Amino acid sequence: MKLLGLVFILLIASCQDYNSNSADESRYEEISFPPGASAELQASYRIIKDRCFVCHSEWSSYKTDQQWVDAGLVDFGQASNSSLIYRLKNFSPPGDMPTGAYPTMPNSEYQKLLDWVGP
Amino acid sequence: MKKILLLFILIGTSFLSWGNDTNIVVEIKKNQKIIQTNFLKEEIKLKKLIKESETIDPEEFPVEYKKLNFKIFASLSKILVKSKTAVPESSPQRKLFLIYREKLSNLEYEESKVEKVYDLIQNHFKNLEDKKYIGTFRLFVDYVSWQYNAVLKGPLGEYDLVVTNKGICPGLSYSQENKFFTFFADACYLFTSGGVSSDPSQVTYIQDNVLATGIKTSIGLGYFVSSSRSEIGLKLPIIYAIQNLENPPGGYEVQEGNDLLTMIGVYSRWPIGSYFFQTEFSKYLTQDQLLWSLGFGYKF
Amino acid sequence: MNKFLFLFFIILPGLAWSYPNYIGHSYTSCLNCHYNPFGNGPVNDYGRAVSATLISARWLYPKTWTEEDLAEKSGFLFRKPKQDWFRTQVNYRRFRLTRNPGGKNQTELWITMQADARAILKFGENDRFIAVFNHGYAPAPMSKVSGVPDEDTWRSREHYVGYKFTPKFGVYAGLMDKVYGVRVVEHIAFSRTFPQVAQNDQTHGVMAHFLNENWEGGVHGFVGNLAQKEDLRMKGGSTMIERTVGGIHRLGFSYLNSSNLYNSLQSYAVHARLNLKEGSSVIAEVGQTSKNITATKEKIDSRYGLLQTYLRPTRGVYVFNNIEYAKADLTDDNYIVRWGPGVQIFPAQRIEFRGDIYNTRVFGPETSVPDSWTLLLQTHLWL
Repeated sequence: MKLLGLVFILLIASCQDYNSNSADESRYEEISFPPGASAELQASYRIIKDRCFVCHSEWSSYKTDQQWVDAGLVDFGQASNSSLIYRLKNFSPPGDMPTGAYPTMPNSEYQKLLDWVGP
Repeated sequence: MKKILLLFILIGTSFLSWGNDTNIVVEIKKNQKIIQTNFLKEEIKLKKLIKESETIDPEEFPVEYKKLNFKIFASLSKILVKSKTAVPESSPQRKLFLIYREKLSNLEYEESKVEKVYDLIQNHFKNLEDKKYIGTFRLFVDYVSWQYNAVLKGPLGEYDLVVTNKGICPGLSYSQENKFFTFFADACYLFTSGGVSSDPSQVTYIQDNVLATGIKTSIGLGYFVSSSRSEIGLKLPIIYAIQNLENPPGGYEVQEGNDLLTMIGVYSRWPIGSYFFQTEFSKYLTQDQLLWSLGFGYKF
Repeated sequence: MNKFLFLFFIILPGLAWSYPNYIGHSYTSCLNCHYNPFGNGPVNDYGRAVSATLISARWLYPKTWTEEDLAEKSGFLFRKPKQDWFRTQVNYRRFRLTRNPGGKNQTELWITMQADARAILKFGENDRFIAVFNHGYAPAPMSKVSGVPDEDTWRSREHYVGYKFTPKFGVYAGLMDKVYGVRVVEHIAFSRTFPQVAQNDQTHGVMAHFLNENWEGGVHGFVGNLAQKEDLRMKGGSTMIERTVGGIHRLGFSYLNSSNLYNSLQSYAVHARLNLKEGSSVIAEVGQTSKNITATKEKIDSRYGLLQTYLRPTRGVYVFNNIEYAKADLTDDNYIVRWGPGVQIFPAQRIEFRGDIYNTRVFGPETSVPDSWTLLLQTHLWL
């Protein structure tokens, strides 16, 4: 009987539990920003965290506008000069970011980034 | 040829004289005359019993009478199996064939052979019927999306563009179809719109909701996969369309390539009564782009 | 211990050899062939026989074998089971994924999608009581999100017990797929990912199934996958109801409501499974999901559509079209259409070859980008 119970437990004890919700904590958790961080920055950060940090984890510390400028990723008011923006859409080979297996950023999220950086 | 050989096996050589149809007709008439002369009473009795759906005792009929009926039945089958057109059941020869089959069935004479010959003849005509091509018209409206290449040329270089359009394509198709295959041609009027946008890191060029109209025409062939007349097949579409994209400022020019686009594609169609749904997935022969459509139509 | 190890099988969940498009063979209910009344999971003896004598071709069999011979040999290891209470199944699926085939950025991946086995215990008249165990290999997810730890590659896909009070009413408890929508085999379909009923979204719960001449349906209450951290588990309920129409088609409705600490999800859909006869069918589903993010109070409404046509030109061959629509955010003008023609070939029972081409086109104002293409070539073997 004990053996059956052990087999039963072994059978039902799965090791992998990845599913559609595995990233919920990371994706939807509260994020703290320094005082003065604009709503646009906060919304954009959340999108970038979700879409980009898997490969660009070094960006996770950029929580102010200036940090994004200093990193050379954003030129406020010049979306066409901001690699964070222009790499997302209609980019010639090697193609739009996110690349590889990761899904294309929906336009609603792209617009939020544009709202933050400027046209 | 196979059917004739099978008939040969079923009805035996004693009833075979593989002359032309005239000889066979003569033979039929000869046997009918013998029945009228020597077995008139039996003939009248059998016909009366069949007509009134009375019980028939085969023992009451002489073997010679039964044999004569079988000879006529066999002769009729020889004529019918050589037919190359789908003769309807209402035709005199097929009606006669059915009458003699009924007589022999009631006389319980060579029943197994009679049914096998009957099945053979029925299947023969069913095959002929199934292979007959009939012309069919269909009206349809497709929701279509198509892309094509363009090039933006200007002072700083050339940039590849992709123009994306979507809209409707109402049209008409004509097909010749039998039970198995269909060959068709169709044409529809492209009423679509779309636009293009360039890589913003290079030059900003955006066009949206620009009308793209033209003609899309195809030829194709398909195969019916089920008794519901669902079909799949291949088609060769051609699009001729005009879309006037504006040239951007700064000395740039948009070159849209050919107005004529040739493709190869697969399609499917599944009917619901006289209405149907259809899909198409066609790849351009000279570009990387693709056209797809989902449509609805009515078959006349 | 050793004599029980043979019970430790892993199984390929229901992707094996029985799919919802088999309504084209007049099988309106999944219960005909599956132990799980809503499909997926292991196939019963009848389902095995159907796969051998109706779905698969005879190309590899001697002409002298009759259909009865095929049915007799449809059991595990080609044998007719000698007892009624235990069944087992083993599956293997591998495919080659090519992105941008023929293009400048072509990439290729070989992926072993599944290597599973399953054990089924069944007792009573008409298998009144069943216990299903399903364990197997699952590849590590390719689309990782930052912050999610690396996953192991073995999991239990199903483990549940079921009891049929009558042939038309049963209750099932354990780890199962959620009752919702049409369980198409394409786990990347938007109709599966948007409402979170994809290939790894099994949940622990209790499910009731009912079936009569015209209606079939189920209600499912669940508490999430207990192997997962509690704050991530989606708890809630779902229901799916279908009505037989015209004797051969099915129309259905589904609703799902679930939540965890971070978000809640509501989904509803209508679907149709149409029998085009002689194995051909059409499956359609249209649905909407509504996600509420707890931390930001944001609400995202999404919409999806699926149209699958399966046409069977000859036994053992299915030519299909997989057409999908997805709008991730209804406040957005962008949407995606994904078109996937393909062919599925069963040269004999236990062997499936499948080829899919996926074309994805993005639509939106001021958006015009080349389509993305993916080629999938798949081999599936089972015993």
